[in-house]
Amino acid sequence: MNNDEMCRRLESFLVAVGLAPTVDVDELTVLTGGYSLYTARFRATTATGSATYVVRADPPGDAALTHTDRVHEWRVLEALTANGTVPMPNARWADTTGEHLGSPAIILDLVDGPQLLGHLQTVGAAEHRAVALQLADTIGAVHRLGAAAVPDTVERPATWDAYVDTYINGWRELEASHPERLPFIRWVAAWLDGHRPPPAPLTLVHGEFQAGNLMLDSHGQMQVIDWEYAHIGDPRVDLGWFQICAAFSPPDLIGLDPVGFCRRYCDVTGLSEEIVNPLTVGWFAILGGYKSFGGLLQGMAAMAAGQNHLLTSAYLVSAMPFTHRLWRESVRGMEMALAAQMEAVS
Amino acid sequence: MITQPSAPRILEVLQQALTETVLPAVTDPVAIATVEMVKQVLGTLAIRAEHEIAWLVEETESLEALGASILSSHPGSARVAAALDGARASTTGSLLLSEVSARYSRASEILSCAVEEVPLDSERRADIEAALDARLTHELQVIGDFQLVGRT
Repeated sequence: MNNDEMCRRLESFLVAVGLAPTVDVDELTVLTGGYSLYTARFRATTATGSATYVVRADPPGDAALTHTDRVHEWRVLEALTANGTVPMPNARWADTTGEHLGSPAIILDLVDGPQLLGHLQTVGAAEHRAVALQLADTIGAVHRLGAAAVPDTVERPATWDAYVDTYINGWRELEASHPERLPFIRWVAAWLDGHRPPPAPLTLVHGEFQAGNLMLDSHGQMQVIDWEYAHIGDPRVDLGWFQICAAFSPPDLIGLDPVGFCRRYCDVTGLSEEIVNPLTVGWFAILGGYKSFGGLLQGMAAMAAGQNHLLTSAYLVSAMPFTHRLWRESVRGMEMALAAQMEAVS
Repeated sequence: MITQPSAPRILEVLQQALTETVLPAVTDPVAIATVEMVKQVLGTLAIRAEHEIAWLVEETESLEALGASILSSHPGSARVAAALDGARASTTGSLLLSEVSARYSRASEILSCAVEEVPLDSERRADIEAALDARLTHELQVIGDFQLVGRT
């Protein structure tokens, strides 16, 4: 679909949802930065003025690297927008069937500021340290909400172990269904299974918390975007995923001062340092990649089978070796730290 | 068949054309990110074209030797034994990439089963770790200096 056609569809949709009797849409610009959804900003003008929004839509079937559910995302966004305490752009409207916009889509307010990742690449170490504490506050505010913040349609794991098992078994199932054998996944699943940290209370988790999914608004406040993987789970999944992504796209705000970050996060959430510390976050950094890397692996498998033609699937093949190295280094580091702890105790 | 310029060299020239001719003429950020991704993929293909079959054959032999070594120390490792049997049964001697890759995948199952089945205090664990490291070394040589593009 070209930009003009999308503008016309947006105009019809915004009239249909009651924004105004007539709406003009222009200045539609496709945004880069994600690998999964079609994302664009646009201006909507009515008789009373103009506003700029963002539309997130499923791409055409064979052009999607990963598949997530706009209905699920909309239910989460709708609830969080109503809650009003989560630092995120308000969700406005959804075309969950794609009837109006060509594919399932959600429209949100635009955050008028830079993406955190871009901002970090333009500032120095002192600013990084300050932003790291802001990061702890921001994600802590999300995790403080608890499971009740989202509707019952969002699945609740029966227990912490059941939740963690879905990840560990998920890694194994991904490997089993892949067109070739992947020993690093089997190795890391076995390691995770044998080194479980103490459980944390299950709560609302963003699910893809990384600098690319954080914006700074005009007041310098962080705004969390892209909630497609939100779920009820262990909050350390978000902290771990942030660190994995930071390894791909530095700087690692948590890694600047991991103990200091965890203390600040514990202050915000009330969780103990036994639950949230650099070692437990490191464990979740490995565990938490299952859904995102799972999508990546599925894209690779689909390409191998001739079922997709995505450049991103070909390109992100390189992400797997990079991740294998991170896993090896992380596991070695954690095993050394655990051994040192044991020695200190004895 | 014509072997010169080699496949890796041709891929290098394609990368150069993208860098020197295409990129300077492109302003659209989506298109720039696309070209950067294509360049990165071409770089990995150049390494694979040069080394892939040799590395897969070399690793396959090492993994079969690892399986045999584990079975001599731990004869009860049924899954390693089954994986080793599976790998050996698939040996055809063909150097077609598709067949070498299929054998490599079966040999990789030896390593996966060894990771899961060999006791943590076994002396063979060091061999398993070394096999993982050897595999990783080749993987990292393929991707070079990989960085995500289009995420700023």
